[in-house]
Amino acid sequence: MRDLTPDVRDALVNYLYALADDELLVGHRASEWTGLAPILEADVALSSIAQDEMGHALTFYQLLEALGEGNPDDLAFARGVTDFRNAIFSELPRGDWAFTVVRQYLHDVAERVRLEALANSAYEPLAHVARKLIVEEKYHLLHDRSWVAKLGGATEESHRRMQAALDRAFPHALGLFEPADGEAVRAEAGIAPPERELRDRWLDEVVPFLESATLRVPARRDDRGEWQVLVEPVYGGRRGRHTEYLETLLDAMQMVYRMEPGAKW
Amino acid sequence: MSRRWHFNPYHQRIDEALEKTSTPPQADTEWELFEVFVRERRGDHPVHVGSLHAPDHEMALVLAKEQYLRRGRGVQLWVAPARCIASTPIEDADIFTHATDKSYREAYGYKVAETVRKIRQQQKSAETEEPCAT
Repeated sequence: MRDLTPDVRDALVNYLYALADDELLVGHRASEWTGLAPILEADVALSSIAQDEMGHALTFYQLLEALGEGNPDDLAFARGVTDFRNAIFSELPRGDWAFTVVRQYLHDVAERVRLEALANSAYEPLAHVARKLIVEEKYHLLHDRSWVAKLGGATEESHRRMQAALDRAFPHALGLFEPADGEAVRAEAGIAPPERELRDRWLDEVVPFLESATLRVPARRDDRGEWQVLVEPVYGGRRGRHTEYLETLLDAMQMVYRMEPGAKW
Repeated sequence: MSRRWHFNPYHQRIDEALEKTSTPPQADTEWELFEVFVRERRGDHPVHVGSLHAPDHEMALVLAKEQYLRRGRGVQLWVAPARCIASTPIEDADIFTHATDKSYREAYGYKVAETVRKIRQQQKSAETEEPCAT
């Protein structure tokens, strides 16, 4: 892909913000467990995963920098609530351990499905990044699947918490597939497939897995084999419409940077 | 805010977490102890690097990956329940000492490093002397 026409560039930029912001916020929420996780080994593992997600966010912000959007520190720490393009799913508070592992699992499957598609993107820098990042998803999914499978059916309490977590997470997780502006342009230019496709591939994987962990998922296939979700997806994030949770998150996350923007460490 | 201020954000968050529960968290080690081994490169021996607690061997592998291979290199992890490992008592360390001279068991006569160096030299000079194939 040689020169980007303005509308292709805009469609690409919108998409990259969505990807970067999801990674940044999920990583930040996971990092909120550092020092507080149920057991030391789990603390170390989730903290590492949080750092990985931050690294992914940085990689996407660097693609945005190359497209003239500004440096990654400014993009992460100086933008306001309405500038963020993450799904509301990513800004929800960390909840209990059950909610965290359910969210991490749903996020990581979505990320893997997306990166696999983007590995063939017509925009070569993005394809290159996708191929690189997918390597880390292998471990993330190994980690997440182990926790979900074990906690899903272990005890009455763990099952109850996991089901409650999934009930809360699932409608929000569908918001990961809310299209960012410019979807038709991206599909035509071969940059990224439509969100609907990714959502279906995601459902192909998460529904059977969660059911095998004895959890109920509000989704099923109809007579034609198409996925039907039985809950209303929580949209708005891709349009900059967020909850008060993002406000408190950004207050904490951006506080140090905003004290002296551009400071050298 | 009536909450006590801590300079250390970890202490701050622990206070906040404790406020939410009526019973303080237990330092719980009901999980089984596993010994962890890392194979650094293919062909190397797995080397013992430490131990951790986990509910089973699957989680032990998942957690050991970050516990012991967050940094450094490795290609494979082994875990074994600590109860499966038998050992000699440390008080019996003297069973490994020799009362009489057993130097005949050592390989002093084999100057391996020197021989390998000689072979490498020969290979190098053979390469430089050889005319390039068209």
